[in-house]
Amino acid sequence: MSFTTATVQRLLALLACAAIVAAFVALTGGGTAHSEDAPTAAPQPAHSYDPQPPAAVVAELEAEFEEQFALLREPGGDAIPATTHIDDPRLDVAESRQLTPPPAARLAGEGDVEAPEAIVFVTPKADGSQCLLAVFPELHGPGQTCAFADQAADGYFLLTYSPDNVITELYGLMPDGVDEVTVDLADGSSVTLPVISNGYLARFDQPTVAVNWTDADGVEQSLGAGSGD
Amino acid sequence: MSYRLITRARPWRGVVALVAACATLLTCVASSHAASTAFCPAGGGTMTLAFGVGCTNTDHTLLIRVKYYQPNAMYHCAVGKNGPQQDGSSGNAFAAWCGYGATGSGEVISPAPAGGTWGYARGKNEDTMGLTWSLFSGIKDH
Repeated sequence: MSFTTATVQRLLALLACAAIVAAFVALTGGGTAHSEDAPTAAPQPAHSYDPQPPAAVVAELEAEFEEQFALLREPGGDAIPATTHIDDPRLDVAESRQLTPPPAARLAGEGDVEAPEAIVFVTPKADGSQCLLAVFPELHGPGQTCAFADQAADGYFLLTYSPDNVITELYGLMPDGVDEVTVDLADGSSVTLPVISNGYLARFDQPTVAVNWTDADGVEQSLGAGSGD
Repeated sequence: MSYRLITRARPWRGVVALVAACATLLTCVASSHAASTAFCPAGGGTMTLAFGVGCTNTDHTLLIRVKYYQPNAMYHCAVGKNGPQQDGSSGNAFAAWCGYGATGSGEVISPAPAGGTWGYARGKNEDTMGLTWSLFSGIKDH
């Protein structure tokens, strides 16, 4: 059996990780502190498991985003409702950009689809990613997911919200050159949504299944976006 | 039509993912009682989800956020709920937030509605065998 250098490096890294975890468990008395009555462990930073790339990498990532998304070349500053609790200190809330919901006229004839109830923002994060924040007044904070530029350019930047097994809201970002997306729904039908300033968002009366689009090179793409059980 | 995986080389991202995995393990192990506590629930409860169930906990109140981490652009969902019953009999319809969350920390975050006596935190992913507690955490405030 032979090992490549990369394999050996991975094995060493995993062993190091295991050693770190084992040492930590030994020092803290194990992972049994789940009870309200358990001894109090040392407070952990709320986001201690979010790594921070070097500043030069962050700058490069931000530039990649601006290069591929016109929305991010525009100034930010759209206000997230003050009642929404943002507890991630690495989100630059002041630089948020609100996505534009589709006008009713653009959805006419597309079936049971309407603008979403959520207010959706794209907010930069200190690690060079951008985050989709979907805000509902009745919720403590936003639903959230984040992506780096290359992932977003490939369509991997969407979020679904399913308050039950029927209603589904879909929010996503597409790079420059994508004008519309087609959303496959659970009943086999499809709805075409406009991409406005890189954003697409809608509310459906059934679960979503997939998002389809034609990229800037004319290649058809599809990504699963299941929201049902 | 094609399904694509992210394949672009990002040498630093492998390191970041490893650090994230290690740190997440530590965060879960170090479940504490401080303000804005991150925890990895210890299991229990009776509610089910059709996909791979992440984890649930009935011993934490004031849940405000659920983070579910999955690397490699795996489609995954996070759910959080505050309710009056420990066993979930008040309803089993979770409001689920799903996405790829394919960042260095690969997270999808669900807010939890305020109030309730019992907090529930769960994640699911497209891989039915994807049960991985260490990649899942909830956040609560005191």
